[in-house]
Amino acid sequence: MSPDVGSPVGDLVPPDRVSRSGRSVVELVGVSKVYPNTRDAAVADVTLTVEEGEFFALLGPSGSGKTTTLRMIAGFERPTVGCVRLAGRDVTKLPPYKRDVNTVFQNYALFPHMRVADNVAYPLKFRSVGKAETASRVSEALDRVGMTGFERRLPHQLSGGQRQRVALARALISRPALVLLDEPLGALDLKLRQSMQLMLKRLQREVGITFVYVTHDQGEALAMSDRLAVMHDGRIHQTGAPDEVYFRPKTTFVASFIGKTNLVDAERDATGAVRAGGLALRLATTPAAEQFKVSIRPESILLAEAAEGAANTFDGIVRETIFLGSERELIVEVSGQTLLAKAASNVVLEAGTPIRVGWPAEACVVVVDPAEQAP
Amino acid sequence: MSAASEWSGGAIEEPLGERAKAAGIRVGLASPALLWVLLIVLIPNAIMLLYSFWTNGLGTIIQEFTTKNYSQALQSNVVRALLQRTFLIAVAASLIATAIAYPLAYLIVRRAGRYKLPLALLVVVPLWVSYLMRVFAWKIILGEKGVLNGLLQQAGVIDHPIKALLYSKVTVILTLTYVAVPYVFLSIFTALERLPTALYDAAGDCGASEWSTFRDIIWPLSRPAAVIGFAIAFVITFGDYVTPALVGGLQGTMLGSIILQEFGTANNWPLGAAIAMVILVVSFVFLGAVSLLARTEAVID
Amino acid sequence: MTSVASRAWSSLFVIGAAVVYVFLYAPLVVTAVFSFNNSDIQTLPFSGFTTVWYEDLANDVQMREALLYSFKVAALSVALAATLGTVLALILDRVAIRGKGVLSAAVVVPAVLPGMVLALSLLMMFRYIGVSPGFTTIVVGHMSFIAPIVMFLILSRLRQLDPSLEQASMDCGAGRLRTFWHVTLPSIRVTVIAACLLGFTLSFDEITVTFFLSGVQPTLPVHVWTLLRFGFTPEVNAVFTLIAAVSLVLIVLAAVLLSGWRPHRRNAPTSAPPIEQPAQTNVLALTYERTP
Ligand SMILES: Nc1ncnc2c1ncn2[C@@H]1O[C@H](COP(=O)(O)OP(=O)(O)O)[C@@H](O)[C@H]1O
Ligand SMILES: [Mg+2]
Repeated sequence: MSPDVGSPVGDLVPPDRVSRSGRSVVELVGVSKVYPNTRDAAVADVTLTVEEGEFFALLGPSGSGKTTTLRMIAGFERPTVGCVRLAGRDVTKLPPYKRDVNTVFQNYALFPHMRVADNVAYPLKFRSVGKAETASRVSEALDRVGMTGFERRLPHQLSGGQRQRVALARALISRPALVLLDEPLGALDLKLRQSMQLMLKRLQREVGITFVYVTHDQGEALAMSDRLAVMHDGRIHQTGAPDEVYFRPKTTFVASFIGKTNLVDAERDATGAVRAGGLALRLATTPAAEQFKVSIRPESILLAEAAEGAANTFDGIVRETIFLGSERELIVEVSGQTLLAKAASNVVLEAGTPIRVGWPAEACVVVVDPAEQAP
Repeated sequence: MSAASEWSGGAIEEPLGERAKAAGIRVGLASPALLWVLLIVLIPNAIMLLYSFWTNGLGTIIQEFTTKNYSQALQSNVVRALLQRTFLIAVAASLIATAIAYPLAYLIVRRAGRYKLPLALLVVVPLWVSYLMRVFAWKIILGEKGVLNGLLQQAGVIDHPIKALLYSKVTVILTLTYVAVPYVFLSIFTALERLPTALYDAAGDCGASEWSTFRDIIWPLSRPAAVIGFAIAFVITFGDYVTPALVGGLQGTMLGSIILQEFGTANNWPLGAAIAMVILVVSFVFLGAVSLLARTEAVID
Repeated sequence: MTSVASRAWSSLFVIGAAVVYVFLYAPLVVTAVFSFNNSDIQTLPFSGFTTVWYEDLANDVQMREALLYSFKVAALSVALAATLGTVLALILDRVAIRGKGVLSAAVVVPAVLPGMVLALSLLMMFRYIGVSPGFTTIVVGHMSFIAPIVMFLILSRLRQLDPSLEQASMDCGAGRLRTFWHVTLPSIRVTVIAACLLGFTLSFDEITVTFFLSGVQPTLPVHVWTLLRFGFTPEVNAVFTLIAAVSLVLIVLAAVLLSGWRPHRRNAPTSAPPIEQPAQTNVLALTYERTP
C-alpha cells in the first residue's frame, strides 16, 4: 500500500502490524460497495488484512458499513470495486456456498422448521460427512457452546441466548477457516451479553478459528478483540490493537468514539511551536499539519503535585466534579479551555478550587478530521 | 373460566358469586355473533339437510324422510361420472394454478427488487375485474371464430379454424386455472414474503446452493401456504357453474351445472339439495385431508 | 462464477413469468378491445373503431334498471355487512366467552363455503319460511359473505391497536360507550371505509349467490349472465369494461386508504397518535377473501 494514493483516510491506515502467524485469512483490497439506486457508497475503499487465529473486531456506529463489509467477505454482496481474498485466493466472484466461511447472523437465522441438532448438522450435509461422524460432531459442537440436551428443541422453544449458542455451533461445525459474527450479542440483555462475551472469547481461543466480529459497542470491541478496525461512513479510520487504537487514535472520530477524550483545536507555527487557544503545548513529535486537533485522554491528565514536572503544566480551576462511584470526574478550566480529568473517588474538590494540571508530551495525540482534508 | 371481566382489557378479580352473572353478561354481549351463526350458518344448512331427505312430487315437496335422493344421486351414472369429472377438473385446475403461482411468487420475491410489490399487485388485479368477464373472455379467445384461431390463421399456421379449442374439459380446466392463479399466488406470495432473507443467506452460508436452499428450507417453510392456496382454488373451482356453462359445452359439464338444472328446469329441489350436500361433504373431507399437508411445527417470528 | 446453465435457467424463469402475465391480462385486454370493435362478431381482424356499443348501453333500459338495482343491493348489503362485521369483530376481539375458537370459525363459514352451497342453503331457508326471492333475499345473501370479510379486516386492525389508549380513556373517566365512540371507532374508521369499498365491488360483481336468490328483477351480473347465454351483443363487452374500470378505481381507493395514506392532517402531527399503521400486505389482504 503506497501512502500517496487512495482516499484521505486510506492515507491514515498504517501498514499492518507484524502478524502473529504471518498468514492472512482475509484480505480486502480497495473494496467499495455502492448499493443499487443509492448515491453514497456504503463501504468506501476499504483495505484490511485479518491474520490467522485472530479475534478481529469491526467497530463503528450504526450505518458505518460494518455489515456490508462482513457480507462481502461472506459472499452475500459483491463489491462494486475491489478484491476479496480468502487464504490468499481471490474469491470476489464466488457465491457464499463456495467459500470456507461461516456466519453468525444478527438475528441468528436458525431454520425454524429444523430441530437444534438438524440446524447444527446442516452444513455437514454439503461436505460428505458420514452419519456417525455427523452425530459425534453435532454433539461436540453443542457441548462446546453448552447446549447439550437441547438437541430435540425447535428454535422457537429457545431463549435468545440459547439461539445464539446454536447459531454459533452451526457456524463452527464445519470447522471453517473463518467465522463472521454480526452483532451476535446485540439482542441480548446486558448481563447475558457479558457472560456470552466471555464464552465467545474462550471458545475462539479453544478452537483457534479466526473470528471477524462486528459490533457498535466500543467496550465489547476493546475487551474481546486482538485487533480492531474502526469504521465511520463506510471508511476505515484506523486499524490496530485495542490499546494502540485507544491511546494513539489517528482521527478525531476514533478519538471521540472510543472512550472519553479531550479534543482541543491546535495549530503549529513556522517555528514548530504548537498552540491550542491560550495554551502552549509540548508534543512528543512535531506534527506535519498546520491545523489539527489534539486528543488528551482524561486519565493521562495529572493533578496537583503529580502534575509538577510534566512536559505540559498549567494552572486551572475546578468547575465541576462528578462522582461516579469508583472514581470522580473533574471538569477543569485552563486558560479558557475546558478539560475533563479523573481523580480518585475519595478526593474532594470544591468547584472553584484552583488546581494544577499537567500531562506528558506523549499524552498529546495529534488527530485529524479526514472530512476536512478531503479534496 | 378465569377471565374476570367481560372486557379482556380488565383484570379485576370478582367475588365467586358474581361469576355466574358475569358469564351471563358475556353471553349477552356475544349474542349478535351467536345469532349470526344460528341464522346464517346453522339454520340454512340444517334446512338444506332437511330438504335433501325429502322428495319431489310433481313440483311440490313431500315432507317425508327418505334417503332416496342420496341413493338416486349416488347410483346415477351421470351424477357419479360428473362427480368424478368435477373433482378431477377442480384438482387439475388447482394443481396447475399452484404450479404456475409458486414459481412466479418465488421469482418475484427473490428477484424483483423494488418492483416486488407492483409486480405482485399486477398478478392480483384481475380479481377486481368482473368474474363473468374473465370467464367469458376465454370464449372470445378460444371460439371457432375467436382471437386465437384468427391469429393462427393470419400467421398461416392453420388453414381452417380449430373447433376443439372451446367446449371441452381442457377449456374448463384452462379457464378455472386462470380464475384460480391470483388466489393461490396471494397465499404463496405473502408466505414467501414473510420469510426473513437471512434464511436464504444462512443456508448459502452453510454450503447450500440455491436449489438445496429451496428444497431444504424455503419449500418446507412455504408448503403450508401453497397447500392453503391450493385448497382455496379447490373450493372456488369445485362448486363453480359459471365456467362450465360458458366455456364447457357438453364435454365440460360439471356437478354445479346439474344443481343449476335441478333448481331450474327440472325443479327437483330435494335432489339438488342432496347433490349440494355431496359437494359440501366432498369439499370438507378433501380439505380436511389436504390440511394435514399444511401442518408445520415451524414458528416464524 | 455464474454458470451458463444457471443463466439459462434464470432467463427461462423470466420468460415463463412474462408468459404468465400475458395469460393473466390477455382476456381483459381482449374484452376491452372488442368493446370498441365495429362488428357483431367477436373475431379478428378488427373491422374498425366504434363507440356504438357504449351508446347502445346508455340507451338500454333493461341494463340501466339492472345497474340501478345492483347499486341498491350493494348499498344496502354493504351497510348491513359493515355494521354486522364491526360488531362481530368487536365481539371476537373483546368478549371472553367459552368456545371462542369454535365461534370465530363458525362466524366466517359463509365466506369460505362454496358460493353455490351458501346460496342454496339460504334459498331453501327462505322458501321454508315463505320469503320469495327478490331484493331481501339477495341482500341477505350478499351480506352473509361480505360481513365476515369486513370482520376479518377490522379484527386485524383491532389487534394492531394499542390497548393503553382505551385504558387511558377509561382512566380519564370515560365510560365504555364513550370510549368506544371517541377512541375505538375513530381508530378503525379508515379500515371500515376501505372494507365498505371492497364489499361494494364484491356485491356489485357477485353472480353465484345472486343467481339463485334473485327474483324477477335481475342484478347487473345476472342480467349479463342471461345475455351471455341467450342473445349476446358486444354491448356486454362495453359494460364489462366499464365495470372493470369502476371496480379498479374503487379498489385502488381502498388500497390507498388501507395503506395509511392521508391527503393532509388537520391536527398537529405531535398531538395525534398514529391511528392507522401502514401495512403493505393489507393491500393484498383485501383480495384474500374474495371468492366468486
Ligand atoms: N441492501 C441495501 N440497499 C441499500 N442500502 C443499504 C443496504 N444495506 C445497507 N445499506 C446502507 O449502507 C450503509 C451501511 O449499512 P450497514 O453495512 O448495514 O451498516 P452497519 O452494519 O455498520 O450498521 C447504510 O447507510 C445503509 O443504509
Ligand atoms: Mg449492521
